[in-house]
Amino acid sequence: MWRTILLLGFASACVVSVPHYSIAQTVNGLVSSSTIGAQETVSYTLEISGTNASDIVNPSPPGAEGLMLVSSIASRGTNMSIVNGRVSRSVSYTWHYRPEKEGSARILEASVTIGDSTFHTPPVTVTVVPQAQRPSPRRRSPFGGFGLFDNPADTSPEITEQDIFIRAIQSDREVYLNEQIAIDYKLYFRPGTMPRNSRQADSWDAEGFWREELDLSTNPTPSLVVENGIRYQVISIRRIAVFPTRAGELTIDPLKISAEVQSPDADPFSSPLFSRRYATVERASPAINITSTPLPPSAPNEFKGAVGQYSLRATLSRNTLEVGEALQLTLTIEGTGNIALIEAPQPEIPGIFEVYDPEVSISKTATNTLIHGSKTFTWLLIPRSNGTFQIPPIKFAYFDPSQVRYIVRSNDLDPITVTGTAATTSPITVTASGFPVDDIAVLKRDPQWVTATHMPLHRGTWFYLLLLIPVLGVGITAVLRRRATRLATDTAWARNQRAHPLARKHLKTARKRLSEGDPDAFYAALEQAVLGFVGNRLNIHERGLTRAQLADLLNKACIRAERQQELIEFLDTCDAARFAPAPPTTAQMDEHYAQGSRILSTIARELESVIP
Amino acid sequence: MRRGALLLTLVAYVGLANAQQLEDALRLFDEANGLVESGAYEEAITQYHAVLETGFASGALYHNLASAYFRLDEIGEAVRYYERAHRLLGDDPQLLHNIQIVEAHVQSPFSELPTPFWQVWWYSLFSQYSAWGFLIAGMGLYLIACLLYAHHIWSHTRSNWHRRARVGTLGIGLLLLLIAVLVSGERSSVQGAAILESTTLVTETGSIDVPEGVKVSLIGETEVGVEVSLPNGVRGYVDASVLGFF
Repeated sequence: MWRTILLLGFASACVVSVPHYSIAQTVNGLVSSSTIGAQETVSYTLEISGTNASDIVNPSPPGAEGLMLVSSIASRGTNMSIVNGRVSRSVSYTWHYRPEKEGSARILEASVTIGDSTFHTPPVTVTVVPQAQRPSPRRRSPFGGFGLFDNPADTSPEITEQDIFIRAIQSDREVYLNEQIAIDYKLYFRPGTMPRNSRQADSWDAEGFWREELDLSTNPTPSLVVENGIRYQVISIRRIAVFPTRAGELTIDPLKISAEVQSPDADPFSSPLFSRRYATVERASPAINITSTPLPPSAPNEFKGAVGQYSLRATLSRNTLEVGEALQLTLTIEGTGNIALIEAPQPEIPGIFEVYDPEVSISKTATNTLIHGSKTFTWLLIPRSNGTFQIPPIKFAYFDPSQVRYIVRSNDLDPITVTGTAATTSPITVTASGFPVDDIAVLKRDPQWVTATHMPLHRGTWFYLLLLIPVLGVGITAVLRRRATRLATDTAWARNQRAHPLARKHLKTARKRLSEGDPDAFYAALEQAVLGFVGNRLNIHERGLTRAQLADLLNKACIRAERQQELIEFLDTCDAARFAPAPPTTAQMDEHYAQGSRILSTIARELESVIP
Repeated sequence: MRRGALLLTLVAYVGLANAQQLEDALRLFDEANGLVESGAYEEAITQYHAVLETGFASGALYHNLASAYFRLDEIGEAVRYYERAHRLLGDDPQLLHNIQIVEAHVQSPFSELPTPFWQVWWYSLFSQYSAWGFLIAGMGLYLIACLLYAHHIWSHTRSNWHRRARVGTLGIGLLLLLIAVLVSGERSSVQGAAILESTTLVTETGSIDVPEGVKVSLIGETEVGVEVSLPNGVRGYVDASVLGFF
């Protein structure tokens, strides 16, 4: 047992103590400084890591422009370090160069062969400045090494732009309107500067953009990079996604930070009691210029400005329900783009449903270089009537910059079956007039019927008749009044007017007497009818006229002789019948009645031509 | 005699037929109201239109029909029939309340031109009294005037008061009859239209989106479409199919 435990303990100790060799091979070309004085030298180190020294074929010094190689023999060095149990080993070859002239100089590409592979380093640019512009080399105090009496300010060389700077790395420079651009602000600092207490030093704005902050690690681990022959540590200090909201040339302000840093060349043992001295520096990224292009024309009707890559999913919480119950229509748009500003598609919900404003929820993932997420719209629908209803396919359109075209996503929904009938609900709140607040008062029950097709008054005949009848009444009144006046004032006209009615009246009386069997009265009425008619028409007093006087008057009235004779004979017959001892028979009376009527009509016709 | 009997029979027949139709209209109206109460708005709308096919209409019918359309979220139709109801019911408080609610649902981006004062007066006049009211009052005064004239002709009255009464009653009577004719013409003519579905108004300078439920005035009909005027006075053309006339 104890033997087993000892073996396990030994094995564990071996696992912990045996270093892991890195197998990644890297080759870096590093310079001592990217800016040197005209009388200084610059060292170029070819650093090879992740391999055994035996595999390396001794490299040749790289060529240079504006610099002169001091010695072609490289000083070789090896280095091994263990960080977190990971062993790294490197071999370095160093050459020195002296400037030939002031200005820009270059150390050209270096090559090294490791085993069967050849590695190349990029060229390095070195700026050669007059020696006067370079700070004087540090001179150690005679008491150096103890440092108790050193002035730290004297021992801290100047921190240059090459020691610490900010770069803005953008995903794209020319984009479409509302297309997403990721910007990563990275702080480059040389090992040893150890920046701390960094903060934004000035306001920063991105006018013309909608912006979203992307997540950053709260405890970032710097990565090592080599830039122009200088080794730097890099951390992201701000990461944002921006969306241009207008077309044209747009500029994002430089991001300016201030931080406390230590000179990379500072001697850690030079300050009092080994305490490090920091200087505050300000650095700004360059401004970012972005060209925003308008979206192409001929956008579909459903397009509401979404740009990116999206998918659409629409679901109903249920498909069968009772009137008055609720269901949810959920619409999820997921993808990459400006999720926050996506507008809800307008589903064409049948009007039978009471629709409430949608609940909107947004889920965003901003840890990557682009904003990705989903936006969910949830409508609450309450049917107010039964039946089967179909919500038309819901469509969502967006512009995909990668395909440079509009894409319409569509999602079909199953029909909704609503059963039952709605219960009458009384409003909870009513206005002062008794009507529901924010709703209509549905029914009125007292119909006062009119014709559906209303004919205007001026098109109805009856309207004009109504107008005309009173006028006619007034006209008739005027006529009657005039007649009454003439009847009262013009005797001849009045008698003439009365002749016919009186004759008819007497004839009627005669007929009545005939039917009663009263011959005396019959012949009296018959005589009065004929003689009265002649008297009225000729405006004479007929009573007491002799037959000769009557004939004379008839002559004057141009009545023909035979008519005169016939009239007189008829009158004589009437007289004879009235005073005869034996009354006439009914047949005779009928015949006399007919004769009287005929004489009346013939005389009336003849008088008509004379006396109208 | 025979002709008179025939006329009387015809009048009686027409009267009975009308009574039957009115009875049918009332029955259908009650059924439609029941459907509204039970939430079957589509069926109720069908039933209300069946009432209109009987040849009878009423302000309450148009009101209830508009309410059913409103429940179905067909705002354009609701506006159309509430306007028709308004012409028959005038300033009925319930109707005005409902019109206010419906107008709140119309997302009109247009401001409204002020109404000329004479239009306000004219509208308040004919919304308060029906053409029949004016007709009866006017015809009554007209008859009195005619009787006074007849009396004057018959009795040769020379009184100044009598003359003033004749002229006054005749003048006022004819004026009321003229108003009755105008009000009747106003009620029978198309007043305007509601936009039944969102559309585009084509103007001389471009096009304007017009949402559902906006009321427009009718200018005329052309080959291009119906010329209408928006509430803000802008004129343009729309397709006749999107207009609900009232």
